[in-house]
Amino acid sequence: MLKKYPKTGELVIPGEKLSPLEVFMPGENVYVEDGFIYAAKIGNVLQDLKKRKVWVYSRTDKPALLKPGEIVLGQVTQIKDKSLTVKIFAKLKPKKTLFKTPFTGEIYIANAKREFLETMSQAFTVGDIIKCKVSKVTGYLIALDTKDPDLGIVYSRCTKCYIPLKAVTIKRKQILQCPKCKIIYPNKKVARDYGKIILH
Amino acid sequence: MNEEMSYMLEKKPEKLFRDDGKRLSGRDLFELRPIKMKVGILENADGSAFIEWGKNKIIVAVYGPREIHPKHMAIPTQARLRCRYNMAAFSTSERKKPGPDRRSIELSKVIREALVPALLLEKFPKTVIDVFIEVLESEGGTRVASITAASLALADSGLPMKDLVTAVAAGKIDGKIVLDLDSAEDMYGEADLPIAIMPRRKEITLIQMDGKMTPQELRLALGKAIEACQQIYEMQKRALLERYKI
Amino acid sequence: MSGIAATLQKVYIRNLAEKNKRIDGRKLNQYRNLEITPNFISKAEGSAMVQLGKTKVLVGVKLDLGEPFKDTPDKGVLITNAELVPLASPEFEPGPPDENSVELARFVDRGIRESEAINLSKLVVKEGETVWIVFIDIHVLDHDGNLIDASAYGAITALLTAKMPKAVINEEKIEVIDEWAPLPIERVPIPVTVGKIGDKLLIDPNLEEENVLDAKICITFEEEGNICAIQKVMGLFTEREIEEAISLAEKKSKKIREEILEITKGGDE
Repeated sequence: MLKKYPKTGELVIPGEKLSPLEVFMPGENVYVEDGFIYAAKIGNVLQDLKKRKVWVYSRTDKPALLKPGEIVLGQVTQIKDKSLTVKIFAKLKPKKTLFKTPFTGEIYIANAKREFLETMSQAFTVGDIIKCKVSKVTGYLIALDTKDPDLGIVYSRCTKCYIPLKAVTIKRKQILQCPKCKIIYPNKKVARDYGKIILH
Repeated sequence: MNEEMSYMLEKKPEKLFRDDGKRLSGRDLFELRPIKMKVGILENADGSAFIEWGKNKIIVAVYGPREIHPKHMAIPTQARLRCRYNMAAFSTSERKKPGPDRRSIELSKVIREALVPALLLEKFPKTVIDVFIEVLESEGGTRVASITAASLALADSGLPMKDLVTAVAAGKIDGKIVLDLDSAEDMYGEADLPIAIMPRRKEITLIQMDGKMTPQELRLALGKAIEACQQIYEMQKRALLERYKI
Repeated sequence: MSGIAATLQKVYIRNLAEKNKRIDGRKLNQYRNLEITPNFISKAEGSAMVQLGKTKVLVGVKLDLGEPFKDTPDKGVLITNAELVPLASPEFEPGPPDENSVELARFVDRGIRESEAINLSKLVVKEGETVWIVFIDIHVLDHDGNLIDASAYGAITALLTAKMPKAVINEEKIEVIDEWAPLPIERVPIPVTVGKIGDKLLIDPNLEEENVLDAKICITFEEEGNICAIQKVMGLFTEREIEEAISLAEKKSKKIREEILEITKGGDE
């Protein structure tokens, strides 16, 4: 009875009828209307006969949107007492992607560092490039998190000399120091791989 | 005549049919101009398509969903679709002054309205999807060619869609109903009826007319245009599969 | 690419340059693949589609009759305009030309004007009253760096392949007749863009490189070897670096001129 519908592996375009609703359940990249399941994206049809599910395996990773759990890179653009704003310009995990238009994310102070922080400006400076985890996405409001030791600042400049800071290990703790004026920034939330991120 | 249309002016022919009953271009009444489509031709855009329709050459880029600025433009429950139809200065017989005019603003609007029904915009609340249409060369029927190409660029951008959108113009020249008017036919014919449909669902997303037709003529023209859309839809499908085949 | 990402990229690209390497594997003095398709637009009197690597620019030349400027009643008029349409890059905004598109148009214009590439005296129909106006319209379609060179090559190719109809004065009235001749093009100005990163110079920067360049300069040569236009677009150069940039650009401009002349020759019936 499914003869006239596209089978597993077949390439379909948006609008193609995949199955009546009573035969399969709708999976990803499909939509349901008037009792039928239709493809919503270009891709290959996949029918899971065990789970009785049909979906479309998309042939592109577009649109490039953010999902909770993903690791991203962003630049601190504004610091308030209890939160900061981040311009997210790249995704590191699961797949390295540079965004053509950046997204705006926010970190609330409780999600910035494991240790207690009085204000955000102790741990971050405007212009810092930070590695964060996406914790929640609602529309374009993206909540971020930097608590994990892997996360935090990966690039920062001296507020006096404007040159990139170096990470030094003092008492088994990574601390940022200006190679020129030797000032140290003891409270910065430094990521484990500070200074080692290459986008290419 | 509308003053801002003057840059599109073609020389007026004596009549729009040849002695053998064919149109000046040699086409039959319901014959389309040659159409070529290519999907995914731009590097920067999230989705893109190029269409050559007769001498019309149109390139379409899609960006998004992305953040919307200013933020108060955001719609809480769905993405906003923006369209910008623009003609290159060298796209017309007489040079067109760059920048938007009233005609291109209206076209941007009706093109957007023709595309919106096919998109599942509620998947991306508070974002914006931009469709940029650049007419590089025009020979009548740019809005329908733009819609046809824009729906390919949207599909290429990976946005979830209910259906493609396919468009064509019907019209009346020297008393006869024809399909796919070129600029001279558009300018000196009696009526022009551009339509767009979602071809699988057979729903009409654009219909405009200027000129005069009887209701009977309109019915014939609409029917013929919808028929032609099926033919154009097959080309759209081939262009998409060409891009995404392994 | 986002400007912020450039901060991280900069160290990487700079280290590569120190080893005389580039992010896309080119040599410092190596141009990207250049493809030019003349006569792309049949409604335009002349046109060229240029692909320089992934950068795409379409240039059209249109002719129109109009009044000459008061101070040059015996010369035709040249008008160059560039549109950085938002289709071409996520960073381009709709709206009137911004400073980048004006700089682009004016620099391309300057190369053509100062080299006297078009013999404007031959564009006069009736002195002081009617002359041909040559419009060069640059339409950027995909921005992957070095728009100036791509646009200028498109402009000169479009001019070299453009056709001009004959205008005659018939009983005080000007008539355009269906007799076409090439535009009076007498020189082929060719700009070459040189970027600087650290103390290394490289030509034809792509967008990733442009985002991290310390300085950029464009130098236009005509065939007799004269320089006919220079624009430092950003950053700073030492005197020695300018000299080095000039010799780099001179060599490359000769090659590109040969390529363009090869593409456009035999185009006239």
